[in-house]
Amino acid sequence: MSNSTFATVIIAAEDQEAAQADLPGNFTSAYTTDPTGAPPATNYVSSGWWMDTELDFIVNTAAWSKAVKFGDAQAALDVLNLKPVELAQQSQAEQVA
Amino acid sequence: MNIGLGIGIPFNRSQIWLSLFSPSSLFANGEQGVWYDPSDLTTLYQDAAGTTPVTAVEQPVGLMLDKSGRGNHAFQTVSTKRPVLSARVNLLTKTEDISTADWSRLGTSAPNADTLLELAVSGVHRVSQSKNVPATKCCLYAEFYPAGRSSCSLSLYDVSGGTTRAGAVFSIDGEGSIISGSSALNKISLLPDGWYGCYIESASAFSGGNTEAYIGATDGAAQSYAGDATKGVRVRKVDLRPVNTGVNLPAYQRVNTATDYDTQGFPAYLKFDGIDDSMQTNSIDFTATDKMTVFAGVRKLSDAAARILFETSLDVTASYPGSFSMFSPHTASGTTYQPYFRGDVGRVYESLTPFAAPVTNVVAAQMFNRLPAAGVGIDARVNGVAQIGAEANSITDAGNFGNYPLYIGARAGTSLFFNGHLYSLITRGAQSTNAQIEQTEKWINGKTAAY
Repeated sequence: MSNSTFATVIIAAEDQEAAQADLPGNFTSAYTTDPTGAPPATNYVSSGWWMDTELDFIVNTAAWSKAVKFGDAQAALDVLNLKPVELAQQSQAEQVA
Repeated sequence: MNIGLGIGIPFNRSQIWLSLFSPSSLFANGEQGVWYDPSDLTTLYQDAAGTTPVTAVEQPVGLMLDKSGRGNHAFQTVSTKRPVLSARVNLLTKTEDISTADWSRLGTSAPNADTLLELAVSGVHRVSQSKNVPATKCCLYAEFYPAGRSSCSLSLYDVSGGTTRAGAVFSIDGEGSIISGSSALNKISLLPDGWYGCYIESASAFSGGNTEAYIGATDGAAQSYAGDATKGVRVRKVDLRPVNTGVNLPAYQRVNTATDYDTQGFPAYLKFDGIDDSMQTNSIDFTATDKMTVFAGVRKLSDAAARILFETSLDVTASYPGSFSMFSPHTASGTTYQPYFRGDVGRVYESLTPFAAPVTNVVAAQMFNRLPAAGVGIDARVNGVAQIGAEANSITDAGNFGNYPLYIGARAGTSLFFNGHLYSLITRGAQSTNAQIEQTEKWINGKTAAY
């Protein structure tokens, strides 16, 4: 909890590999600007408690483009019109209604 | 069984069950499974290695110890993906100090924490906060005391919907009464210390999104009038929350900031953000059993898309024999919970509906890994009531349950991220008796306040 800050960081999809090389395990949640949530992903998101050193790196050092938002994560995503990517196998086509 | 608890102490059956029954009894004979209890701080750590304990609400949870005795601890190694421990109900902040910047003022000054004084201008005389609320019915509570004015108002304005969803003007004199806004949902009561507890509740659901909570002084029924700088009302204990947040919760939760608020009387939960939060275990070997009982205390915040509450294997809908899961919901706009498991060949699922988000429930299901001809595959209950859903059983080769990691709050930790609260989770690799199911449901409800 100490030395941590809650933030939502959004990156462009093409920067995922570089961002994950710098911050392993992050930026795995796929989002898109497509209003239906159809793939492909246009962005990847990590939201939660970052170590201050990580946020410092993201803001001041990381070469990849990013948006760093504070406060309510979902509100930040809504403002950017980002929706989670809904993959085909998640549509539960075999399910009864 | 009746037990007297003494004069002045309210009788609470959930509390009785809490003191006499423990879910540990479900594992007394060596049954495989898990029992997670977020209300037990001794089982929570901020890091996956278990070196930094969770000591307060709004701290991330990187390790959650399994209380079943089987050692199936849940962990999350990526710091940003950890759910957060919470007990927050009241959506407002600075609930006992209307003089702070958290409160906007119109036609009023707030010279101290609990006093709203009118400005000598014409118009309304109120303070307000703007908060996002879910698309559901909401309620607002505040306590007032006369300070030159003996009437006050509460209202909730749905900014997204462009309409006032709830409102009333109260007389804070004598026994107290409602001057206008006489919905049966609105209430006023004279408190022992002479203050008045005032409450309004919307009859219809909010649009979801920005909402204004207004607290004001009035001149009788008039909410807009020429103010008098020597008159106003005292205000304390303001609380805004969805109506169905929980049963028999305290009417007021003190909130200073997002990380500083009272927790006494409010159930603790893990908050999954619906973006990237999840936990998992190492592989849990259920191969010795073809029967499973699962319990969860849950608040589902969204039905926007299919989401996983918990799941063994990487994907129960793919070819992982003996895997099982609970969808919450199972499809976009589906007002469902859906227990689901897979045999060696074929699968069984059952949609439990209607449980439209946001909603708090205790969900229980027994899963019998057997052919359709052998009997029901899923026997499910929600809030202690048996559910008769449309079961789909395509099993042609049953078998036992599998040996997979348990993922909590997402599929494989990478997709279908659950948006909501988890109050308790139990999975037991065995059939349970009716008494065990009822006792466990009541125990979990004591931690969830669902019904």
